[in-house]
This record gives sequence, structure tokens and C-alpha cells, in this order.
Amino acid sequence: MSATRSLVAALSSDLLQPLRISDATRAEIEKSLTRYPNRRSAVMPVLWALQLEIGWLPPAALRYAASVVELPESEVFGIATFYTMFNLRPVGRHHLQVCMTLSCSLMGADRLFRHLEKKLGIGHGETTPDGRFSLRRVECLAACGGAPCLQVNFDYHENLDEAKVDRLLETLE
Amino acid sequence: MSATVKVTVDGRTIEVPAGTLITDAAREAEVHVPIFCAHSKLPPLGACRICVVEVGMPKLGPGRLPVTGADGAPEIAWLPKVQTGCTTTVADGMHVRTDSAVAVKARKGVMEFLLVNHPLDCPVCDEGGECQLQDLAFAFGADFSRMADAKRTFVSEDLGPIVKKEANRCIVCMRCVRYCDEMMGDDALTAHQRGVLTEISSFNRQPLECEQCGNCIEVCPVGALTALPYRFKARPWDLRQHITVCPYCPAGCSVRLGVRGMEILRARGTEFRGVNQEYLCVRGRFGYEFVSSPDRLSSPLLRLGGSLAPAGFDEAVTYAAARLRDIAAAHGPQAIAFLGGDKLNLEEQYLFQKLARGVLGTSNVDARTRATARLPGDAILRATGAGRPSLTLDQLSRAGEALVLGDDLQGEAPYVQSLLILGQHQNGLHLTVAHPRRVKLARSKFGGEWLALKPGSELTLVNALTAASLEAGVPAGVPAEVGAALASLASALGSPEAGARETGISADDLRRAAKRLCAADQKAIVFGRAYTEHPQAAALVQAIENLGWASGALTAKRASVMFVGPQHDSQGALDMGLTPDRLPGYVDPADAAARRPFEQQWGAALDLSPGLSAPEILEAAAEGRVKALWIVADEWVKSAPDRARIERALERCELVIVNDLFLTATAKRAHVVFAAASFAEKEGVAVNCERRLQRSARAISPRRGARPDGEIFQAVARGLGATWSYRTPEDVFREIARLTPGYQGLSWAQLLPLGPQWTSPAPLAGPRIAPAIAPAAAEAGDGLWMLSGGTLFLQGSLSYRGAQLPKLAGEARARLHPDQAQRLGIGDGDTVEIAGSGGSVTLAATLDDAVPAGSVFVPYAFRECDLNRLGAPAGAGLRVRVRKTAAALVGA
Ligand code: SF4
Ligand code: SF4
Ligand code: SF4
Ligand code: FES
Ligand code: FES
Repeated sequence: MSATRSLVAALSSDLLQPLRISDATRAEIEKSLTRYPNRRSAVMPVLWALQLEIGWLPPAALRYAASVVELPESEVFGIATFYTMFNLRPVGRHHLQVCMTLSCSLMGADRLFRHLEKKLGIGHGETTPDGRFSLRRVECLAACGGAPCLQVNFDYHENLDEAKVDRLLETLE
Repeated sequence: MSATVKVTVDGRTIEVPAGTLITDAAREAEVHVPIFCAHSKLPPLGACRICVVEVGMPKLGPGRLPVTGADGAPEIAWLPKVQTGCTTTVADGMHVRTDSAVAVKARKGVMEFLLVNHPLDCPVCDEGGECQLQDLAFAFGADFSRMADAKRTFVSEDLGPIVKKEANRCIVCMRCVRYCDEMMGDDALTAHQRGVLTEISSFNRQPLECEQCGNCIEVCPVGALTALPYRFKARPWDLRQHITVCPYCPAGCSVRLGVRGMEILRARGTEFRGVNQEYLCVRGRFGYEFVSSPDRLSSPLLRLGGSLAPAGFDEAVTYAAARLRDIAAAHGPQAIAFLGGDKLNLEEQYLFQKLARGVLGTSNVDARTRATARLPGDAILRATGAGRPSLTLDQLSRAGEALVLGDDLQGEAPYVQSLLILGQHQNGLHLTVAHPRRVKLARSKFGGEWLALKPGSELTLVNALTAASLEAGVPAGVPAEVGAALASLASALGSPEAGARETGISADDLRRAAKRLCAADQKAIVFGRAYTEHPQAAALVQAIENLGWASGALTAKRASVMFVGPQHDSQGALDMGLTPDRLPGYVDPADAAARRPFEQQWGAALDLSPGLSAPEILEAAAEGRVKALWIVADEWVKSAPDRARIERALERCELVIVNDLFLTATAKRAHVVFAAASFAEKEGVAVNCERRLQRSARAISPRRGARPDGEIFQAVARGLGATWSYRTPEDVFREIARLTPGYQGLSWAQLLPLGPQWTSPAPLAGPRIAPAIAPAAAEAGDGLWMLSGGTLFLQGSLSYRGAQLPKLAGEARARLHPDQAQRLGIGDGDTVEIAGSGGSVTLAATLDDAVPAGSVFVPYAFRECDLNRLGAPAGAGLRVRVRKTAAALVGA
């Protein structure tokens, strides 16, 4: 519940506040714009740079991205929702991303995911009240050989089962 | 010219142009290939797979010769997999099967997939009964579902006041997303997520910030998008459908009204029908509501003893006729003037001027009631090519270059705007938009060129473009006399550099724009009321004619200049002689031979010498020279320039007759008010901006007490002793077609939606090339330029009588550039007073960087904001002062 409340607060405050981005991110965005023949091709690196800085992609960041790559705002929103690597809500310190695509699915990703849900008391797209964990189903992480795979922030953990996950969680503060 | 190929669909062999899609070829062969995602206005996509067919080519043997079977017919090598008909083009000799076991099984499979997550909503879905999914499930689907898991579900969403979304029903055909992009240029919708979770929505699921046209609803083949205003109002099989012509702009879209009993419940476009196919703008789709407004007049009104009181029709007719006769007798017929009529049907327009000229003997007729200066009745005819075959709307969208002069087409003719956007997206059309404001078409996303001229420099701009065009010499193929005239015009015009200073557009940009226009094979120049209602209208329209010839948009054989008039039948009004100096068909009354057929038909040797134009009538009435006015379907008090003078004119007149649906501000000042029927309540023809004649059906009978304007005119004519006996509009049209140059040979039966364009076998007027100069604008002008123009959600005094359009339009706002506002100490939402020479209006301000500094923009058509109170424009426009009168309420 409090996860929802803080989310609403985050969203509405975002609508009021102008976007603040560091010079480094701005420079990164400028650089990616020069990398392609069309500005629009830079949409992914631009979104990624913004997310790296802010931690997620608030509507203002999406608007900003749309204006720099000269794409309709709606389209940028569509792109950001297409890829599971983009967060359209704030996430916790440890973002648990469980691959649900075929190989992982066959190797028990579903069981793993349900285990995490039960253990953390949150569902897909939610964050624990203490802001420690967020949980999310994602598409193929390109680690099919190590299925099932879980990505925590930027780290991969492969060949998992419930016990391994439990041990892993204990190491995450 | 393009090669044709032979293709056989289910055994029927037909010949179609190379490059035809299988689905279109099948339609030609009258074989049904179902489609969901394909659409005639959208490039092929192949998203839904319902159109799968089996495709084969003749088997080739040794020497690449076709192998024939035992029966002598060529053997067909069928492709191992089915193909999507909507993305595959035909090849010569191709065979297509839609009825083979393979095709049937594949289609059934696709159908089953489409229904996997589809809810059993049909009983509560507005689309039910006209849903393509329902129809095709019935035709091709299985009678059971093998889906064992729970269906995935979405939450339903209102995307603003118009669009209701039930994503569970969506088949992800992408039509809505692509139509909004390709036709509307709004890109308001997008697909969220992916795979089975794909859901159509807006940016951040916010209410749509868009034109609210509802075309996404229209093209949705299922009930995923439905119209909130129509939600749960009717079942389609309960409705009678009538095809009418939209009353809101000169594009002339066919509007299919859905009627139950006497009530219009919705308006839709129709696929493969009319100029617009399925398209309607927000006004065409939701603007019909005024027809059933409770405020409609339910009987004529007569002013007897001070106030207006209901009267019988005959009583009103007798009174009007008697008063007209008296005034004509006492002061001569020239003391009578007829105004308005560009919202009438063609037949009514004809009768209106026939009543004036043929019965009363006055030539004081003018439909162009918002004009600020006299414009010759044939000026627009000449500028648009004098009856030479002209651009169709379809050709407009295929032009290489379009120059839009002065109008914001989003407000004036939304469909024309959409066709230009379509052309830009799909046909490589380049846009040049000359407008002081950054209007929608001038936005950078459309890749065109915005000529941001300074307000007041319109004439200089058109002349400079002409000068720049002529720098490359006179275009080839113009008649010799035109060539000579253009050559001497070139020396009179000087260089584009002079124009650059005044317009604020660099000479290079002017030259580039002219060059693009001249170089394009297919080109178009589009202009409208911004120039014809300009104080320098006569010079401007002449300048457009010059530019037309200089750029090759006008040639001996064809014309590519389009006039987008202020009302849906403005073209008809010009054609029918609702101008003081031209008879129907632009016949010059001074031309005795050309005039004769009218005299013979109207039964009098008439004094047809030119009468007064609308601005002159206004002046004459204010001075007491014109004593009787008949104003038809026109809120003249609010729309004619110079409010004070109109008030004076109406006060001084001995007789004011008004035809209207409502007790308008104008009607309130009348002596006789005739309750008129609406567009939906009468049959008749309207002429759109491509000069196409289209007949509108009568969808419902007239409101009790109201009559079609034509009937009113006939009754008064008879009251004046004329022997008119037209039984139907068709009778009138026959007379028009007999008498009117350009219209000869047209028959009533042809005039359905997408009827014929009128063109004249010989041009109706010779080219006239002349320097276009306006009297030097009084340079005294200071203050801000008052800019006005059309707006999308309102058009004319009928549009604000419904519920939807005024709600969408919101309040009138004064739009100011942020820098300008800052200089004046004005913030967003502050109340400001705009003061002109004649008076002032007060409204809230909005900051808008599409409006140039040094000006203020307020659209017309807002009921509560009568811009004519500011006084009449002079010189090249109107100057005003703007000051803040109250601060915005915080949080408001
Ligand atoms: S209503 Fe019209 S402009 Fe708005 S989203 Fe639908 S198609 Fe686009
Ligand atoms: S909402 Fe309708 S038009 Fe849009 S993708 Fe879904 S089914 Fe197609
Ligand atoms: S574009 Fe014009 S004719 Fe078509 S629906 Fe809109 S207002 Fe009516
Ligand atoms: S399926 Fe999980 S990593 Fe590829
Ligand atoms: S109609 Fe052909 S794939 Fe949709």
C-alpha cells in the first residue's frame, strides 16, 4: 500500500518539478545524438543515460528525451514500456529482475518468481516499503545457458533455485 | 501508362495495374478477402494476418515455359505458406485462392488467435452489429474456443472526453495509432508494452492532447475504441443512416447521420465513400448536436408593437412581402439589400439572389458578410483558374509542393490539413506555410518551410514570391498574352529583396520557396478567408492570380490554386451570384448577350447593374440609404467588421428580416424572423473547395415550425406576385443547370457524395495579370496586431449550440508570445483588455510561443467574445492595445 502511495506522490511531484540533469548526462546525451544518421535512432541511449542518472524514467524525462530525439512523446513512452530494462516507476536499492522467457521459464522461473513474491511480500512492479527490493518480470536476459537467471541491478545470477536465491538476498543490504 | 497484369482470384481472372495489392485485386474481382489492419489511407503493414491467402505462379518447365496439365490449363506452383494479401502485390499470371482448404484453415487459425483473449462483450459493446471481428468470427471463426487459461485483462480507460478505451477488445491492428500519425499528424496514441500485454494508450495514459477527431474510433475495426458521447445510446440496427454534407467547412465531407425517430444520435464517415472516406474532423463528428437543441426557433416571429412575438408562417410571409413592396415603392429597390447565404444549399442560394434581382430588382446581394473591403465577384474565380479543370483533394495530397497562404487550415478546413499531412507522410509532399503564427502545418515535424511573415505584410509576401518566381523567366506553356503581361509585371515588381525587408523573411528563403513551387510538377496554392476578408482583399486575390500564372500553378489547361472558403458552401455562393456584380455562373450583368437567358427565365428586363457589396451595404444602411435588410443564416451582428456601425445600421433600417435556426443576436434586432430548417432537415447541393457538387440527403423532417430557406424565399416571392412553383430542390437545380455557365449538363442524379466537379469548357474569365497594389497602409499603426482566425473546435454560430464542441473549445483566450506578455506585465491566466478604435473586449490571456511578438491572437467563433467590438480593420489589419486588468487566480 505504501508502495502505491509513494508512487503516486512521485508521479505527481514529477509533473510539477522541472527536470534536473547533470552536465555529465547532458554531455552523454549530446554524444549519443551524434552517433547515428538520425536523431531518433538515439532514443535508446538517451533514455538509458537519463535512467542511469535518475534511477527511473519519470514523465518529464520521457518528454525531454522525445524533444531531443525529435520523436512524438507518445512513441517514446511506447518504447520505454516495450523494454523491460526501463523503469517507469522508482525502484528500490536492489532491483530483482527475473527472466521469464522460454529457457528460464522451462527451468523454473515461475517457481522462483512466486518464491520471491512470497518472501518479499511484493508483486511484479512493486517495491518493499523500506525501499530495499523491487521485483520485476523481465524478458530474455541473454543468459539462457544459465537459466533460470536473475538480474540484480547490473549483476547476473544464474542457475538459481529457491535456496540460492535466499542466500543471495541475505547478502543484499 | 502503368502496365497492367492479369491475376486470377478464386478462378476469376481480372486485369489490374501492376503494383496492386492482392486485397485490392480481390475486391476488384468481387472476392471477399477479410482485412483488419489494412486501410486505404495507410501504407501496408501486415499486423493482423486475417487476410492470408494461398498464392501461386504458373509452373515453369524447360525453357521457362509454363507447364500445362492434362486439361490444358497451366499448372500452378502454390507457395508452401499462405501470404498476407494486404502486403503482397500481384504479379502477372498470379493465382490467388481464398477458398482452398489451406487458406480456410489458416484464416480459421488466425481467427482463433485473435479471439484467444477477446472478451464476450458483444452484448454490451457499442460496436456490436457493425463490428468486423464479430462479422468475421461469424463468417470464418470456429464455434468453440480451445482457450483453457484465464484471459489477460486490462482496465478500461477514458482517454479524454471523446475516446473510450476497452483494451480487452483490442486486436492490436495498429490502425488507430497509424491513422492518428499519418492523417492527423498528432501521434497521440501508441502501443504500450509488448506481446500479449500490448495495449494502446496515450503518453503516460494521460487524456489525449489531440484534435479529438474520433477517427481512431472510426478506424478501429472492433469495439476497443468507442465514442464517449455515443456510448450506450443506440444499437446500430436501430438507426436509419442518411448521408449528408458536413455544414462546417468547404472540404465537403460526407457525414453519415445515424437517426432514431427524429433524433440524430451520431455522425460517422463511410469507408470508400465521399471525398473523406472514413475521415471526419471533430466538428463533422460531434457538431450535429445543434439540430436538436431545445433553443431552436419553433415558429416565425414578428415585431408588432415593439417586441418580437410568435406568428404564423403565412402571416410572416404576408408581412415581409408587403413591407418589402412598400419600401421598394417608396425608396426604389436599391434601398433593399440581401446578405448572407454561404451556409445555404446551392438551390437556396440561387433563389435568394433571384428573389433580389428577378423579383425585387435589387443587385445589393452579398454572401461575404465578414468582408472588410469590396472584392470583385469574379476575383476568386480568376485566381483559381476561371473554371479550368482544377485540383481534386486527392490530387492535393499527391502534389509535390503545396503553398498554404494565410490560413490556419486546422481551423478553416481540417480535412484539407489532414490531406496535406497524409501527402507529407506518404507522397513526399513538401509544405510551405506562410503564416505569422506557427500553425500546426508549420511545425517542424512536418518538415516543411514556415514563412513567418510579419503581420500586415501579406500582400508584399505574395508579390515577392511572384517576383522571385519570375526571376527564372516566364513559365513555359502560358498563353502568349499572359507571357507578355508577366514579363512587364516582373519589371514592375522589383526584386525579392524589397519584399524581404517588409515581410521579415530573407530574400533567400523567398527565392527558395518560389523555386520549389515553380519546379514542382504537381503543385498547389491554397488560400482562404485570411486573404478574402483582409482589408486589402482585392489586391491580395489579384496577387494570387499573378503568382498562379508566374509559378505555373495556372496554365492554359489546368489550375492548381484552391480557394478554401469560410463556409461549407462559399463556393456555391460565388457560383450562384451571391455577389453584387455577378449573376450565376459569373455572368457579367453588363454583357447583354450573356445576361439574356436570365432575363428570359426571370421574366423581366432587369436593371442588373452592379449593386453594393457587404461592407458597402453596412455603410449605406448605417447612413440610412439602405432601408431594408434580409440576412440569411448569418450572425451578422457578431461577425461583420465594426460592431458600432452594424448596431447603427440595424437600428436605422425600417425592415430587417432574418432567417435562422436560433434567436441570434442578429435575429433579436429583426422585424421578421423566419425559423429555418437545419442542414439535416432538407435536401440540397453544396459545392466544396474542389468545386465538387454533392447532394445532401434529408435525414429528418424539419423541426416543427421551421422551413427550409428555399421554401421561405418561394413563399415571399409569391407574396410579391412572382409565379414561382418549384416543388423540390431538384426543380430549382434544373433551372440552375440550364442557365449557369459551367454548370450546364449537370444532372441531379449525378450529384451524390463524390459528385462531379464543375469545370467550364471554355474558361469563364480571361487571365488578368496586373500589379497588385493596395492603397498605402496608413503607417500610423502602433499597438499590437490583432490576429484572428479559425479554430478547430468551433466554426460559426451553430457550433456552440451543442454540448461537445463548446466543451472541447473551452473559453476564448487571448494568446500572446511569452516575451510580449512579459513586456506588458501579463502572466498566464491574467485577465486582459484588448482595446481597438471601436471598443474593447476582456478575456483571459494564455502564453503561446506560436504567436509572434508584437501581436495578440484570439480565434473567432467564441460566443462570448465579439471581436468586431474592436472596430473595423484599416490599412493592412487591425491594431489594438492590450493591458492587464486582473491577475490570474492562483490555482485556477
Ligand atoms: S481523436 Fe483523432 S487526434 Fe485524437 S487520438 Fe484519436 S485519431 Fe488521434
Ligand atoms: S484499439 Fe482498435 S484500432 Fe487500435 S490497435 Fe486496437 S483494435 Fe486496432
Ligand atoms: S473537415 Fe470540414 S467538412 Fe470535413 S468534417 Fe471537418 S468541418 Fe466537416
Ligand atoms: S530465457 Fe532467460 S535469459 Fe534467455
Ligand atoms: S489485413 Fe492483412 S495483415 Fe491485417
